[in-house]
Amino acid sequence: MSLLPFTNLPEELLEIIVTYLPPLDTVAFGRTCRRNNKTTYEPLIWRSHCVREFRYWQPSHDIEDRLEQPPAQTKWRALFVERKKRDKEAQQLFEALLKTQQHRIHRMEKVAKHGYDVKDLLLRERDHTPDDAEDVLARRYYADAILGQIHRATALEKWMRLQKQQMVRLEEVLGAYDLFVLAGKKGDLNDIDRELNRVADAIKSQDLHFDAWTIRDKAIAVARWLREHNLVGNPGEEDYHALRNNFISIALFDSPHTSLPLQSVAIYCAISRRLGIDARPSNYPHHVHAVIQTPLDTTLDGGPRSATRELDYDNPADIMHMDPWRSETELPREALSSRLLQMGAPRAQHSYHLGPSSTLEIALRTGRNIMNSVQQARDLQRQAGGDDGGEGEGPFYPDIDAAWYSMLWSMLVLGDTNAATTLHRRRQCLPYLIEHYQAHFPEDLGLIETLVIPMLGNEREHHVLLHLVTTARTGDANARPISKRPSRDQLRAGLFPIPGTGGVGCKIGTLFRHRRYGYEGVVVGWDTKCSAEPRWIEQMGVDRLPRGREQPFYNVVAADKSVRYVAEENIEVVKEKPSRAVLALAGRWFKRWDGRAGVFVSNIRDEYPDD
Amino acid sequence: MSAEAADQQVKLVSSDNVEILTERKVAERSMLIKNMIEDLGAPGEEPIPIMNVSEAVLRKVLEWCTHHKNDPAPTQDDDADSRKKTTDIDDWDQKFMQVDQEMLFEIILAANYMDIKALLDVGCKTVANMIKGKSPEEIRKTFNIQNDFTPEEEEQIRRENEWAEDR
Repeated sequence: MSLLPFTNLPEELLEIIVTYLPPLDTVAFGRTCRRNNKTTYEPLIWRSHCVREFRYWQPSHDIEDRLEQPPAQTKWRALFVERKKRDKEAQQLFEALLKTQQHRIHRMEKVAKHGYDVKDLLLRERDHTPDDAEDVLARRYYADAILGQIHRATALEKWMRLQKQQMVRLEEVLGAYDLFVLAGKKGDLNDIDRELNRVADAIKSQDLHFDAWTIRDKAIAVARWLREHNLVGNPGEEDYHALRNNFISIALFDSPHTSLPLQSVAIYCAISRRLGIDARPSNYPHHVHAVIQTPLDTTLDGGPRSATRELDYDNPADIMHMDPWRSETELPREALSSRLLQMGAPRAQHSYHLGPSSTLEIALRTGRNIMNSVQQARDLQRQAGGDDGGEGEGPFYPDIDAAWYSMLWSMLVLGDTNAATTLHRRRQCLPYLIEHYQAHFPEDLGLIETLVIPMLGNEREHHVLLHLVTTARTGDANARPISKRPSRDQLRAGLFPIPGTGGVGCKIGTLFRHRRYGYEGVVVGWDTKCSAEPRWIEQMGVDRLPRGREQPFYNVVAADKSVRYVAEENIEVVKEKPSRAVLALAGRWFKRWDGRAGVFVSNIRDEYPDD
Repeated sequence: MSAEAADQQVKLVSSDNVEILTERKVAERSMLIKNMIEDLGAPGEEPIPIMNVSEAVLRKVLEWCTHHKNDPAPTQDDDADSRKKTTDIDDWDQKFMQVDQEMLFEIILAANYMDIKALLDVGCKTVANMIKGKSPEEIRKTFNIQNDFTPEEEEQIRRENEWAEDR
């Protein structure tokens, strides 16, 4: 060919063609010749790859700011490559941690360390691993667990800031609770921030002259908009204490958007602040209002005001109250006072109850509310008698254990107004926290190590925890001790106290129903005879069992996530499909459910090689 | 545009001096022609010169414009991120683009010159689809591109792009 049409294409057209290429094809194209190579360095191309390929970014990238700047100011290609390399590294770690229990926690920590830079990858593993993947359950489970780690670390960072009296916003402190229960759903701190901005913009755009409105009119307009759009309140007041009502992101993103007064007021205040209104939650007993204060140089009605005059809590030109949870109108001060009197609050305390609360107090109040709601949710679950507890998403969202765990951490980290009560509170919740960490979140070892231990100073608990952490680290670093199934010869020679030659009847991954208590569970470990401590054996009346202590005993996990120790005679093997609850937790030990064989496929063969 | 104006005929002149009569509505898919008609003020009388486009290519372009004459006008939304980045092409356009490479690039150049954004995009997507999934050597073969890298440059580029290997 005499004429080379491709080489004749002007630069700008080449660039358009390249914008239609995925990243890897862009690189291949760049490797063809000098001119094409130059085209593939256009910053806009890589900016767009960055945006399309990665939704989540560590805050240190300042990605939002960069997107505002001219594209040439950022090394977009280098950034893209950095993220790709990180993904690759994290992916390798992830594959390795799926394969063996040894170093698993260490590897999870290494992945989690990259924070939001690996969130896309983890979400992909969690939500897009095909159902027929060989290790589908493990993959989804550990991706979810590491996401949880990342979210919890973010949450704790916010609470630590609050505790150290550094700048942190109310919605971040409350949204931190959500980070414990999110499980990859929409509603992390960025989502909340974006949504609050969106709502504030929408309210503002109702009127071209919104900025010129008085504070009072603005404050009422915010409440009206939020109530019209169903983002605050709980219309039926049914399920007032439902666990979901404690979480600000669920109120914002999840139909029917119900919440407790505290969360409604927090949403109201966060949006008000974005519109230049100083609104904060109140200290009112058994309810929360929004307290709106004048900006000192004008009254709430836009009138003149001496900025040196102190705020007067009795003056309606300085202070107003709203109850966005219940209504869109202003609350007269007298009504609030007389209600306080009815409740028996002395007049001298009224200005405290009607005044703004501290962010710390609101955070602690949320913790206490969650504690109540969790207890109620557990009662309901028990009444339902069920491992599955109900239909649809009900039993899983928000997860009761995750919510409980959030409360324990907040109580531990946030402390209290003085050192003595702080220590007291920490001592109170520490045992529960440790128990919960060990049972459900062993991957949080690093958080216990770096956050909790330093909090305990030279107290006795300090040493206990130090020992616990060291033991866990050693346990993680070493290969698991191997449990080999007794051979036929060993059994025949009577080396094991198992009657007959059946040996250990059930394998790792056996699904069963407890013969006496009826719960659904799955075998995750076994002993050839009862190896519990004598006290437990006595308490549980093991010797009163027909086969006594000289029979195989199984470590099992029940559908309610509890770990138990069960005698073989109480195991009634079932082959039907496990419940959703069991499927959700099974990934910690198993690769997948084998429907044909009716068992879970073990992922702990490093410990039980014959199962 | 009034109904009458839409039915109007305009006369285009290709670079090789061939006059082509076409509907004004069809011709105005080209922003270049649309602006020229508006500037000239007396459409239909003066022939409109399309200086850079030969008769064969111009006829091909007008075939595309005829098929798409009733498409909604392009929106002004031309941000690099918001532009739809799928390389999906509808069936008719795909058939239309089944031409030899020389014609394909001529169409792209003409669409660019005549300012027909939708056609330009279809053309560029077609080329992108010809690149996708190929190795650098295969791309060179497809488009007859000369490898002008020195071995040192080639090595450096390989190292820079190690992350993209094992696709």
